[in-house]
Amino acid sequence: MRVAVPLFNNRISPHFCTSGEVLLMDIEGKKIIRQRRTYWEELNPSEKIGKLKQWGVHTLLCGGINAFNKNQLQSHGIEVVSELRGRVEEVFERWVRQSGPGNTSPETSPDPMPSPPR
Amino acid sequence: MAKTVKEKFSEICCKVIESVTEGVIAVDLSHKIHFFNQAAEKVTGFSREEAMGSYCFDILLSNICQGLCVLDETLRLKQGVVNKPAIIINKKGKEIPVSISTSLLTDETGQVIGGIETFRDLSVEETLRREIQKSYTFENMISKNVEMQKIFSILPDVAESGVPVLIQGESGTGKELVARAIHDLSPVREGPFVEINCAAIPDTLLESEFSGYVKGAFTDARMDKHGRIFLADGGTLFLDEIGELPTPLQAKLLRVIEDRELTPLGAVKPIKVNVRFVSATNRDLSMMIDQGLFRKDLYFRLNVAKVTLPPLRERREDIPLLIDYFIEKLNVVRKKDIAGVSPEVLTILMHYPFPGNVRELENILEYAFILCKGKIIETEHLPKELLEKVPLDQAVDTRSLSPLERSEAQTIQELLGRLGSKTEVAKELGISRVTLWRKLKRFGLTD
Repeated sequence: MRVAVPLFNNRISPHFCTSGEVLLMDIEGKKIIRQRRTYWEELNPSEKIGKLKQWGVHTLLCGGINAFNKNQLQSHGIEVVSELRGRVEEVFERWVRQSGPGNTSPETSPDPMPSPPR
Repeated sequence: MAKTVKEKFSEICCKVIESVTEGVIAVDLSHKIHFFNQAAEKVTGFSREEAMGSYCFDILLSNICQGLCVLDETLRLKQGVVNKPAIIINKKGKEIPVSISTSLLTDETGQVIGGIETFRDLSVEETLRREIQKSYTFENMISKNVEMQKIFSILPDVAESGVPVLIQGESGTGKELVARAIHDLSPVREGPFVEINCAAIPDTLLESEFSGYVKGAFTDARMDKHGRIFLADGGTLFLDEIGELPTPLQAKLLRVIEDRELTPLGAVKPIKVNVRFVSATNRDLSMMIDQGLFRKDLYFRLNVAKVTLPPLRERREDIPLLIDYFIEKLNVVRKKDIAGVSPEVLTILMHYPFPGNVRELENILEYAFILCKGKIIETEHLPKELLEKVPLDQAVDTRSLSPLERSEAQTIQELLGRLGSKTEVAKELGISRVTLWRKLKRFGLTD
């Protein structure tokens, strides 16, 4: 499964709409098998949602997100785990431990990661 | 041990800060929170325990935290920021408009040790604004213009009366909305509302569209077809652009109104119909009568009650209301989250003559919605042709003015455009020429 985390330096972004960078992680079991950071500063919230859908993201781990965007993401079948804060690795570990992918078998391998930004 | 005066004052200060209605937080240089008052708890939804020791951006969750942080700006410039608009997301995921101000926090030696952020919840003001907007809304129309308000007040009685109504107004002023409002408020509201645009149907087809036909009436009439008048039986027929109706058909329409029956093409017997007629035009029908282009008797039949819609340039006070209304509507349609227009855009729109009226304003905002990627519609999102017609230097720069002054400046400029003379403007406003001159100078409206 693919997980996305909007970034604020090395922390989880406090605000989904204005985040400038996103971390995409492919996860198998409880391990990250592939990850890439991508800039998306120039995208508006609906374009960001479109990108997440296009990238085949299954779960978004984020800080603050408004109800409108959360509903939009959920209507595209993307699970939203919000109100998270802290360093990305800590947040990820906490999520995996508490309610993450767990022992469920990985879903079918998603499309390749997006190309690095120009 | 007894408290010193300093300690007592310190306690009092804390109590004062606790009691204010603005959220107050104090942070150190690394943005960690060391003070969080009750109002801050209320606005953000986070408790003091959750907030203390956290980074301010993790608690405020604002749209300016990343890249536009006011605290960073304060620390860099050694100067406070006043009333910076922002939107925070509270713990429940609800967006709250706030106004943030900052100041430097120094120790006893004058050393900067952090900053203080205060924020005011603007959602109450926002709710009030919406309430005001609601009070200016009638059916699907919105206006606070005196002429429009008069129309809103008479429309229920006009609708109830069942008499034919003629709606006069320039293109894009909302004639169809008035027609629909008349239908929705009338005793036949449960009946059909049928619209026919007299300018959109070729002359040769108009009669069959109006009256319908029976099988065999002409070569291609393979079955009976009901006309629009029949379809509107028991309801309202809206004849848009009635001024374009060809003269022969005007006579037939007159007969339908007078006799309350129509004869479809090829039929022998007339059919009884009970239709309420509402027509609209952007042309001067009385002038067309003089030119022999419109029947006088039909004009009097259609014009039992008349509603004249003012063009948007004569009700500029509605522009901000309409902007808010269309932004709300377009946010839903386009699945966007735009908060409003910048002061510069508002200034430009307040000075544009809007030959296409409200419809043109809606089209301009639709265009801006496509280009706007952020929260606020800026000048660069407006159509180029519009900017060419309203050069920025001709529009008053109202950014430095208070909302009240801005409104005053706009009213004065509108009156100057309409009345031409400063004496007339002063008379209209009930102020002396000297006061007017002072205001013109203050608002930068002098030649």
